[in-house]
Amino acid sequence: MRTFLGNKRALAGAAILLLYLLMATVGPYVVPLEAEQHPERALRPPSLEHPLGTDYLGRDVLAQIVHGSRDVLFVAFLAALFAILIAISIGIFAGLKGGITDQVLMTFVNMMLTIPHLPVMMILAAVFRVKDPFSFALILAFWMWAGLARAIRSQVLSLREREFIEAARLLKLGTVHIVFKEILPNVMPYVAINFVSMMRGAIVSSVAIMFLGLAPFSANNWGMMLNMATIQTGAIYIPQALSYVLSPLLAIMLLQLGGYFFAHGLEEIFNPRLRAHE
Amino acid sequence: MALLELRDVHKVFQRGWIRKRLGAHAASGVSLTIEEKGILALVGESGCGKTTIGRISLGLIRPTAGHVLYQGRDIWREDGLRPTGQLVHQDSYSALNPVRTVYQTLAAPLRRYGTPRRRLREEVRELLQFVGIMPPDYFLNKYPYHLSGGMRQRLVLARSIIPKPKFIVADEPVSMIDASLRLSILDLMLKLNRELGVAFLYITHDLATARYFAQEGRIAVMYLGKIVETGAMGEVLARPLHPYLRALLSAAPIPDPRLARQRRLMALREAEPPSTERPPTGCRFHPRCPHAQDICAREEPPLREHAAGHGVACHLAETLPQWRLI
Amino acid sequence: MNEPILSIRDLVVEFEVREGNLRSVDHVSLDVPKRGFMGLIGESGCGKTTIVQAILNLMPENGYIRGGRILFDGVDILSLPPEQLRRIRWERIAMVFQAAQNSLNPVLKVSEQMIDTVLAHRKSPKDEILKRAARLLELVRLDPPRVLDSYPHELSGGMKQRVIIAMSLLLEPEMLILDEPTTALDMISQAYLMERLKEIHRELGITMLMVTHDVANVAKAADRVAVMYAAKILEIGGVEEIFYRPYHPYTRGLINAIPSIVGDLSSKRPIPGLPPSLITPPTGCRFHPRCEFADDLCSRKEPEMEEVSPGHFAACHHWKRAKGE
Repeated sequence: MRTFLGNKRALAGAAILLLYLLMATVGPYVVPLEAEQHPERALRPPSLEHPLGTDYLGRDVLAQIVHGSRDVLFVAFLAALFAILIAISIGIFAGLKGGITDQVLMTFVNMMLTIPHLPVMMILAAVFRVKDPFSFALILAFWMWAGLARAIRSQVLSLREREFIEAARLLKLGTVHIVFKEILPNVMPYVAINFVSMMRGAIVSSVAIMFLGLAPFSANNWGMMLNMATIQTGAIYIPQALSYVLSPLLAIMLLQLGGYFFAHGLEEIFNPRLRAHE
Repeated sequence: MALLELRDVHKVFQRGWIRKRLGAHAASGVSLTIEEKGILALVGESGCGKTTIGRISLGLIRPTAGHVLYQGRDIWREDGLRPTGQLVHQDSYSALNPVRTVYQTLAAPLRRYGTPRRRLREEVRELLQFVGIMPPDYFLNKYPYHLSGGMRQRLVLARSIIPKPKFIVADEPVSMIDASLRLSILDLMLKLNRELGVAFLYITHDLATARYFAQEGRIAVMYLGKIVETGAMGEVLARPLHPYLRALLSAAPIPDPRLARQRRLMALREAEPPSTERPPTGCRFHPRCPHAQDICAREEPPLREHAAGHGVACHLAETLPQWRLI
Repeated sequence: MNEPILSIRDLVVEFEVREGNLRSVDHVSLDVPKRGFMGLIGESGCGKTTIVQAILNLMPENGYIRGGRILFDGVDILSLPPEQLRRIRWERIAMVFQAAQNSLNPVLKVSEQMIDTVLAHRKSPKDEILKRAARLLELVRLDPPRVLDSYPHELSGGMKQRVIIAMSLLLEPEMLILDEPTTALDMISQAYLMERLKEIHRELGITMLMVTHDVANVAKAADRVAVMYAAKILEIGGVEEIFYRPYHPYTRGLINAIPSIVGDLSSKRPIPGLPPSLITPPTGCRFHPRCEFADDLCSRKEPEMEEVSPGHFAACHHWKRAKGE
């Protein structure tokens, strides 16, 4: 804990993430979404009553950002969660089993890693008509787990050589115990650090898909906002409406930055401690 | 009937997928016995195969040839039969899960071997006390990196006696521990032997600690995958027969300046130890042996009993000059 | 006993670690007599390696020399500018590090590395260098033509160690410092190496300082021994004095804790307790928590080094009493 508080990166990152979390959970109650349209106030630059300006129908952009964060964060969180569950299962299974099973799984993993994700995701999203955040998250997760699975597998491989795993076998503690009590706790720090990174990846991918209008389950999200701002209404051609276009972009950038700092700060915290123990 | 017997055990480690003829001959025709509640010190230098023998004894590695008999039964012939032995390793840190506390490390096996949940805490405490980790309550929630090397080794020993093993294979258990504290770990192991009746296979390159630990037990000297001499510790060290053992005795450091200076290091024909992949023909020690004769290069000497309980694998055992340390 | 060639006076070295300041060498004074063979013994973490690192100012990033002087041939080398210190390093004081075998460049032949080593310090024709290299290799009982033409991976651990030692002698240093020269060697190679070191000492008349945790190893080769514990020197004396008439309870405990292949085992026992933390060391005498003679004075006041017999020094309040045992 102490090291966490001392690490500026992790703190900065955590602060930003916390801000977004607040925005996503409590925000919508604080900043109500304007349902009414005020075309006369359309595409205005930032002002006191509309800190981020107005959109093409005169609605407050800040409110849309706040409300839009929910779907984005929720989907990203789910996607990262699913991806991690898949990665852990396959990584540990391949690492422990070894032999042919391991080779087959790793070939599969490598295949997954070479296929370009975004185009395939887009196709899948278009084909399956993503109606709810869960299926959306699954589609995203399906392409994200591969890298982590490989990393987990190598960790498991090196853990397997450690004498305490052998001792657990000699004590006949059973494979279930070994997986959950001995291996998993050692792998978790790595997974935790990667969770945030995976969320970042999911955000980018999901926004891209939402931007292309391929995720009809959600009307209010940053991707849709960008879609509206650029494709639908051409607001990017209007200089005063710059804040309308930039707001979702900046929202994403800031979130990614926060995630980056947090993840790297975590890595710094975990690594020296691990080194000091050995 | 011996507790554990290795009969003519061979182990070759093949390299790679392709069936290569060239492999590391970790053990060639090794036979040894460990008696119930006995202590056997297996002494040899790194690469001689002693670690492999330790693992074969526990049933962790299957020999390429030969038999491993636990309480008279061949463990590889009968399915699922494994010797109830435990392993204590050189690196106590690696032997402990770094993210589990002392309590968790001991509680899991205690549960496994029948301790009811409500008795767990108490039994862990008693166990810690028995192995000298005091005060027990202070250490319950500590992680391995909080403990010193000696404490960790004690913890490993505590864990190893939970299944009430008949024997423990201790592979260089004190080589990573400070000199002034080594005896405390060896004494603990002796306590396990005397009070709990656990037999020990003590594997080491250090003749001095082997002498201390197995003073009432037996010693087997290993060289390049073969046992070259075996017998009661006192007898073998007082009347060493094999030239390799004599060389070791002339080289082992002695903390006594006058004795150390009076003693002559045995001159070997070649100072460097050879590789395990192409062991010399005939007697494996012959390229270095100062007494080597033609027969030594041609024929491998069998392990023969020279005096009561004292076996040696050397063609010239009968004719070698009397040996004196100084 | 000769005049000291190296005189360490009141040396203090600290490391900055996460938990605070770790004082690895705490006001240590030590004289290494010219042409002597001194053994500096102690267990892991006692500071002995740090001392030799400090002598040539080769310390890791977080290590700092906070005080004291190191006089080599009368000159305080700690106060020398880097250029001059560099000249002393290797040319007058050579050092062989722990696991030095790994410091050989794997892609160069031994002969090339020998030449490189010399040329880095002075101009010299190659054949001269190789001649001297061959002589030194013979001194360590290696076959020069074969070894010079080999790559490091073609040599065994023991051979590499001897190559490093020969290399360290190329520039004819006056002093050779060795840090755990026998680690990772099998017992016979260790004994062999110690014999070679003794021979080098005899033949070249060079001063040797050997740091080791293997107490028994110094019994054969060293003529003078210093015992270190928890960043302090506790006892210094001739090798026979230290082994047969140790005054400091730690020294006696240490020698008594080491089993041997000969002699009575029943008197052997470990030293109770654990080595102390160097971040919060014990008050007074560092050894008092584990000492059977310790009393109130020992926990309050740090003992000074006293001459307990000619040339034999010990830092203990009760050395007179310990002697009687």
